[in-house]
Amino acid sequence: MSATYSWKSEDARKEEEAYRYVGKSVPYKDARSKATGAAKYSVDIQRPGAYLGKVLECPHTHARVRSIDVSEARKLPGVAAVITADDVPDVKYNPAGLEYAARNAKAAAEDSVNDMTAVPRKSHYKGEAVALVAARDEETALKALELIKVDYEVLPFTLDTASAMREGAPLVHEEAGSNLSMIFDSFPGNRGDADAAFAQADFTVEGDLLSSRQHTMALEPLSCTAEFDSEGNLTVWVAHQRPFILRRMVAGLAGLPEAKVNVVCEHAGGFFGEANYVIVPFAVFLAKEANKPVRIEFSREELTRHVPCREIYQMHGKLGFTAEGRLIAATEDMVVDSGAYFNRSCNTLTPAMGSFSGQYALPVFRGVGKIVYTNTPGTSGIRGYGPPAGMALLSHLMDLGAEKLGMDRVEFRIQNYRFNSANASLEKKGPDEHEGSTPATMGLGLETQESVMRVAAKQFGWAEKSRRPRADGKWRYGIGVCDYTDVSGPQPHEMNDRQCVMTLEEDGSVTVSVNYADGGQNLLGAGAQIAAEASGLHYEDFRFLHAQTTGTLYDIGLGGNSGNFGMGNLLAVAGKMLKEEILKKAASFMDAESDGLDIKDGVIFSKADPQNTMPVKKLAYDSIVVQQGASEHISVTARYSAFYSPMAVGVVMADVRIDTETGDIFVDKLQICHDCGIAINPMGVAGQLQGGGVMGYGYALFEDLSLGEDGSVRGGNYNTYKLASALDIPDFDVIVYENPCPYGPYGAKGVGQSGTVGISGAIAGAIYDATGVWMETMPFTPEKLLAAMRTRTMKE
Amino acid sequence: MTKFEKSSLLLMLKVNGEEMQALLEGPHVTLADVLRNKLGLTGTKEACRCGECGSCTVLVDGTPMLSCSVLAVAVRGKEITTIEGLAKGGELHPIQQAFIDSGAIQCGFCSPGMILMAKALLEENPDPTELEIKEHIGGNLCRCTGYIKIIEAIQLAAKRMGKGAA
Ligand code: FES
Ligand code: FES
Repeated sequence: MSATYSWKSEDARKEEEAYRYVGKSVPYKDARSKATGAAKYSVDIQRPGAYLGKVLECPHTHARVRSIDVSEARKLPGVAAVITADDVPDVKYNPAGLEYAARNAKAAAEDSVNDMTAVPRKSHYKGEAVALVAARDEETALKALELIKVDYEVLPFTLDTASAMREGAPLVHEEAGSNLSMIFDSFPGNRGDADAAFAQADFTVEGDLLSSRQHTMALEPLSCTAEFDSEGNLTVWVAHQRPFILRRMVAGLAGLPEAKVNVVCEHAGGFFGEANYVIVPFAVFLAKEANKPVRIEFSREELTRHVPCREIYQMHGKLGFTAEGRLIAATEDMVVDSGAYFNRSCNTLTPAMGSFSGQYALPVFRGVGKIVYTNTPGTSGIRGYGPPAGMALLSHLMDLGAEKLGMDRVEFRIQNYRFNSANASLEKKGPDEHEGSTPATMGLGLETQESVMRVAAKQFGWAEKSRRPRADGKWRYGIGVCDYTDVSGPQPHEMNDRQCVMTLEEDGSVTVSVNYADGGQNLLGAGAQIAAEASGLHYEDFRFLHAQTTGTLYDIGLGGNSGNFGMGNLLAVAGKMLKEEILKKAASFMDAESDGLDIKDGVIFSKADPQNTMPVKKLAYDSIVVQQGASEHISVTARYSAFYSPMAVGVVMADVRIDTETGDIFVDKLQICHDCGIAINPMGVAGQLQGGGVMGYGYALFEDLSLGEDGSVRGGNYNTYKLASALDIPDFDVIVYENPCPYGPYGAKGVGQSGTVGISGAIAGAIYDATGVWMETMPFTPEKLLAAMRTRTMKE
Repeated sequence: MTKFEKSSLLLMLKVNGEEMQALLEGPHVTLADVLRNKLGLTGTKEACRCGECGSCTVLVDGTPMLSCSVLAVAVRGKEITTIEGLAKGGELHPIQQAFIDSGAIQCGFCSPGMILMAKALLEENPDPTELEIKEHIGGNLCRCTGYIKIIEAIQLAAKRMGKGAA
């Protein structure tokens, strides 16, 4: 049985007592439309007269298009457009780079590489699209693809980073001159001289880990519909978590002013990473050429080929300690397989190094990342970004440190925390006293680390389980711990700007116009709870216009655990502003000073004379309808820019059982304890941790996009890429740990991606505890474990 | 000459209690295609089109079937229930309500299939164990929830429906 527990600090308990909506497990805002099948996803969009788009995939891993003849395809009746590289602007772009530009101009210039084109002149990975068609139906579209004649110059290819970096390796992007696209050594948290510090250390530990190709595998297949109206306005329906960034990308590619592009995403069948931009230029250019609405939908197999997976990290980590086990230096060397394109590689390295270097008191750190092209499908930032694999390696190195000194792994970690009861720097500091330019180096919110660890250990029974025998016949038993930190958005390293308009309608309800592509995180529900708390109105009063860029204000979008914190703070500001406007207006109606008034449960009352009341509903009606000649539709525009990102803190523990005959790994118990500040909606927090945790469980044990010898994706549907089913999930306990964070909306911090971060480390640590084997390659499968155990026995 | 003239056929189906008709391009058209693209019932989802994910589940004479893998012509004359047919007169089915109350719906893409699977289960077995629930929905994938709240929702629905019957 999986259970959910709640742990609250005294402060959390006190604060929540006063709240009417924050801290309550209310049903999610749009659950009803999803439960009845009414909710519309991009894949459900059917525009009248829409033509069907298809891509022509290159049959080679790496090949240049010498010539391409589309004349026959164009002549086929029912074909409205055929497009090749000759028909699209010859501009290179990077969708992540556009987002960077909006967040951190310096990083955008230095840390991004523009290497994509809408339709390329060669395939950089097996199956890359080299031509597009739009036709009235599938049969005609497939026929048209067959009629396209391509003369390819087949090129040698390179599939892994080691061979890609060798002299004379085939170049994935010739114009770059090298497959090593970047050496990233400017992580803002690099500090001190690591080699000198290691020389002074009493002992050091080292280790390696190669991560796997985890794919988002969101349930909704990727589709995009693009349509121009008679005025030349373009509407794009696609599941994308950063609609305004996508709008700028589309406008740039199609040569349109931004305001003529409307990106629509009401609901998405899961996001889990910024990967869905790939399909958009295809639909847009086809619609332009065909002068008709065009809809493209990738099959699941096409999707796994073309939609980026998680970056693959080859990591080497080293820690140096004093004789007492105090950490004094660390290095993290990462070789990143970015696949065919650079995309978001740098953007995921920063948090990877951030959590590696920010978790413990650490005077000296050096992180270096080499980003390398290979002829494999593209990569991007997937749930958790860089940290899930990095934390697993760090956690293992801490285990090695504890092992050297014969110390308990939990106590060993606690003694290295930046704030703990022994070094007594537990008093809360204001943000100005924290130095640093990344969330991790600032280290806001880390004060709870020791407490979170102790709560986790107690509930798990760490001490009792540590005393348990490790072997029984063919079985080996082990427990593992991985503590992690995770951001609440990437600020201040990258900015996190949001704005909305909140309007009081004449019926007393509130319409919020805010750009938000819903992927199931319930940010609208949590936002409504926050806005209701801030304004004194009811949760049910809030309705959202959120689905499109036209009619909403600029918003950076979602990613990096930023939603709950950024959007929550925005709606807290907006709710408060709306309340002030309502009270100002009410003052004249109620013959009182506005600061002598307050609102509770939708009723305005005088603090001095509680008999003097007025329902907000009446005020709203009167100010719009009754005040003729002075009618006012009360509305506020709120902005929020997050300058700090408190770290969310958590601990995962795992209890595993290994069958030494088969290598089978059974996770008998998995537990996550996550400090989310205040849980705006505890049911939602638990749900995010459970879902993220199971995604991390798959990442640790079986998820991997397997590639063939030519770099092609093998299969690519759910029969070859395994997702955990209900029968595969372990007993998984969640502890929602609450202690208010002074910067969050009502004390909340980030949570959405955090469930994924610490799982691999805890499971790998438990396997090591049980068998003495550190598995250097993810996912940790029975075959690999069995082989490693055999090698180990032979050595002994 | 369009291919419609070649081989199109008119199919009568009974969906959510209503007689409906659809013009098919041929006998190879799947039930999911008819529901989503001909009848506009997009509540039925398709994540894999190969029988691996369960998101296209509908009830055919009360039995769950993968509509991506069933030909529309094969269910002629049978009673088809999709997610759109579950709520009666604006009143949600207790299973839908339990999914909402338990937080079992995140992105919601798997929810129609899950809810219909749960309906078939509870009709046959009103008081299933946790393992029976897991086995029953084992073919329905969800990327968001980790299944725990879905299992809790089905248990809650069983409890509420059991009370209603008693
Ligand atoms: S779409 Fe039918 S089983 Fe996946
Ligand atoms: S709720 Fe998103 S797939 Fe299940």
